[in-house]
Amino acid sequence: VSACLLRARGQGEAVHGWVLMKQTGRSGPTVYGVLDRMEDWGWIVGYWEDLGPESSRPRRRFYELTPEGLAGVRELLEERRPQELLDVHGRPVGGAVPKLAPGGAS
Amino acid sequence: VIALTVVTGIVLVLAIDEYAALSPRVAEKVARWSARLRYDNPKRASIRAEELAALVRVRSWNLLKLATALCFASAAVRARARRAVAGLYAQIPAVMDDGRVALKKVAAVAVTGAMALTVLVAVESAATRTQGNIRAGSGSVQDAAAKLEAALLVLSKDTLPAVSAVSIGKLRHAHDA
Repeated sequence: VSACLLRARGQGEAVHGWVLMKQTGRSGPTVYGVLDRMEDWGWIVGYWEDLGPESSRPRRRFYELTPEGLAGVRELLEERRPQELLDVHGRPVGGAVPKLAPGGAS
Repeated sequence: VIALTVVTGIVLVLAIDEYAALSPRVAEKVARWSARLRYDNPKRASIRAEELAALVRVRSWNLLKLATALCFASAAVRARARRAVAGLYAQIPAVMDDGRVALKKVAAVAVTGAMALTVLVAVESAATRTQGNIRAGSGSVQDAAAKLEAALLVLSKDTLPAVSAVSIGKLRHAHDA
């Protein structure tokens, strides 16, 4: 899930739960469990898609990494899946790492 | 013939379901219910309820929608059960043997409380029997009640103050009667 969010950020996109489920191949409850924790840590922010008033379907909720989340996800992936940090051209995925104040993220 | 009937029945049910779109409606309700069950935080529960309903809707087949919703429901039931079990191990204030109030595990207090209540029922039953004996001319109600009260006090020290109060109150009532 972290890698998917990082890739999406690199492409300037936000992702919703269904996309994360498809990309990770994990079940919905697993993906949402991860999203819950990341939200609690302040690593991601969610926002609703903008539907017109005539739309009757439920809105989807999109997620993207916060600056703290970007740093945290990078650190996590460096530790566990370093290959996820590079794209096919060997360039870093997800854009520049933001400068955080001391104690801003672990 | 039996196999053909079973297969035809299943296909018919699936066709009716696809046509009448029963599963999607049920799936959305189950998904929303799952979110409310899973999360204690009402704000997050409300967000997830709408989110999961939207997620279920994008699945391609009606039965898949239902299966996805049931998957969320199953996870929600497990999460709820885990929280309930964790709650039993949470700590609450209870009266200790030396009279101090200290933190004890809910499960321990509940078990001791249940034991105390079981004893109380037995005590009341015994008191009733003793009353019968007194009327018949043998034994003393006061002695029996005093012994029972002492036994209950020992038990009650280890339980919730409320349980103690109820137990002693009931015993006194039985004693007075």
